[in-house]
Amino acid sequence: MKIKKILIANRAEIAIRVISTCKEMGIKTVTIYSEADKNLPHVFLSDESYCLGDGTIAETYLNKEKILKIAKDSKSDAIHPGYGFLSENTSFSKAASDMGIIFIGPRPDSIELMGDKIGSKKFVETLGIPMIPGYHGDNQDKEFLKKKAVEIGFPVLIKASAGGGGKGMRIVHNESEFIENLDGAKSEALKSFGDDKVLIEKYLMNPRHIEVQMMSDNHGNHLHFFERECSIQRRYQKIVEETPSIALTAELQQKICEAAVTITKKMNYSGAGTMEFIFEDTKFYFLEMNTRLQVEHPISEMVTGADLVKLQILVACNEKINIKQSEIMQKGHAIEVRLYAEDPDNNFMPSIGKISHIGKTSLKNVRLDTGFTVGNDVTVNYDPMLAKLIVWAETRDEAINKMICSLDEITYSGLKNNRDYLKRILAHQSFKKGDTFTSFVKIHEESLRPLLKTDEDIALSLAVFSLLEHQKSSSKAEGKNQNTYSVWQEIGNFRNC
Amino acid sequence: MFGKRLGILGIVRDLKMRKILVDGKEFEFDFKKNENEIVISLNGKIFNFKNKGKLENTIILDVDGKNYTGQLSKFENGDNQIITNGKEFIISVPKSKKSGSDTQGGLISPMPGKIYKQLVNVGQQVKKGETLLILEAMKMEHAIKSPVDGTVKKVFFKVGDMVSGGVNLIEVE
Repeated sequence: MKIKKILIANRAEIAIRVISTCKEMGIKTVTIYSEADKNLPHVFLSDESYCLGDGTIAETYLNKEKILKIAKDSKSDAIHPGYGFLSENTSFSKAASDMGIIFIGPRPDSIELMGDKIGSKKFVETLGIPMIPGYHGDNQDKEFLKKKAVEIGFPVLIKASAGGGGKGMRIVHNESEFIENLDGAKSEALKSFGDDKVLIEKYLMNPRHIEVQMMSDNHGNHLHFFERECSIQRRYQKIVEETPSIALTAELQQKICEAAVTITKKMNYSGAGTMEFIFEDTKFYFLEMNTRLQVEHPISEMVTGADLVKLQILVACNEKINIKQSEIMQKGHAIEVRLYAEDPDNNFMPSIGKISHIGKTSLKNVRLDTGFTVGNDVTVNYDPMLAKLIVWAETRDEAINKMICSLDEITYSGLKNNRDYLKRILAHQSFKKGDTFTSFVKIHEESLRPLLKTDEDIALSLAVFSLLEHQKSSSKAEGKNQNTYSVWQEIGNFRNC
Repeated sequence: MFGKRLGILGIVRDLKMRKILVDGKEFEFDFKKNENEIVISLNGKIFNFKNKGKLENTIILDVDGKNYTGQLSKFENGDNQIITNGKEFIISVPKSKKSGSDTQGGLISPMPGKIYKQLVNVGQQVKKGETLLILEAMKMEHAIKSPVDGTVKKVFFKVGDMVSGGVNLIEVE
């Protein structure tokens, strides 16, 4: 194999994911870490690891020069960028190639083409792929854009061309509000991305987010690994993903997947990628392409049996993917939930703390992808994702039940998280029915609030508290741990019967 | 002596009710235990739990044969996180009202973050609206300002400390 050592230019969960496949392939791994991350397991699970020093993300995980130097000094053959960070940074991938280090990802021209929302739409439109009615041309004159909006028909969405993550986006419901929203979107886009170019799209009221997993090699093989539905989102952040999508008939599934392959074929894509579509009323429209491996890739792996990271590495070695599209089958149903360090019942306020317990999954076909271990501190310095919990079952109903059970086993104790909120989503009637639209969490906000607890529940919690807190207090009394603060000092001593 | 016969535990004195906060709501409860059992008195009801023992840091309780696992963890701000069979409860002791602490002058962090700048010292005179410290959170700077004219009484953290949401940062009287 051409690649014998890979430097993983990322952290936490995805770094560990890549290490896992490299171990199976007999490839050595190098990880990097900031001073703040020095106790995280991705530092210890690799063969070698190097500290990036104390500093901001820009000074550490986004520090191209430092990372390339470590790659060179450690004699790494390739760099796997993970997702986020430098995964779609063409100057980084070019600099690596210039140094003779393979960048495990698509070619820079593919990243550039799809990184521009306007440019990518123009390209895809030429292929006859359905597009959301809209305007994505160069004319940015305000009155002209307003005229276009009227033609498209309200409500419309104003989107920053260079944007992402919901910034520089405005929904406009009628003509009279158009100009002020246009000004707002442009100024936000300029501030966040340095480019105030916008496009206008018809705003779909109740769509689903459906994406297709792509994988291409350098020998003309452009494959897909079926679709994922990622409609449960909050503020454009995905929370629950599943495959297959309950909304697609076999025919629609084939149509969307083939449309996606038409695009990767035309751009002669290489590596892993995701084609995103927006879907409403049996119609699908191209949204954008992500030229990297995505967070939710595990569900595609669970239903097809593929190892997408392995395929990425093989492609990077210039090997041919020896699988025919007809040989890729989807079996059963997979669901992923993202555990976040935030409190959904308190306005999704981020939380910090030390993880005191994670738990173990006892059911079959349950996978926990996490970047943390017990004892790690969770801070606000990085992305708040604690873990991905993924389940596979033969049917969707079984997968839902399995996920709810597994969420009782994996607790991430020691800090507030969205575990119970995720259970409520999965147990919700509308989720069970498959009525999953991007408006889900908003529409069901009230019914997703925590259930009232019974007196029995509360008495049980107090029993546990009394017994476990009491244990701390009695060991203190015996002088075992002088520094343990005991609540009994405040509320009075216990009495034995 | 007045009392209630509590099954195998026999006649006992009047139960002394302790105040406790569960998920933000205040309750009065009491408990009695021996090696095999724990009894909770809550909202006028009595609940009996058999104590099956402890496995690592998980306690196993039993109600009519049904198993309940229980764990206790601490949050950054000192609250107790109890998880029983996957259900979560936040239990804390209600704070007694001390003059000047939680009422006027006690400033709480709006969200978790890092103390970026500490601009005043204990004993310093400050004016209403004056910035006392700057909290860095969610990639933004948050100025914590004095609500009154007064003197800085207590400073709880120093530059570089990470803090949870909802903790006392500084006291001004």
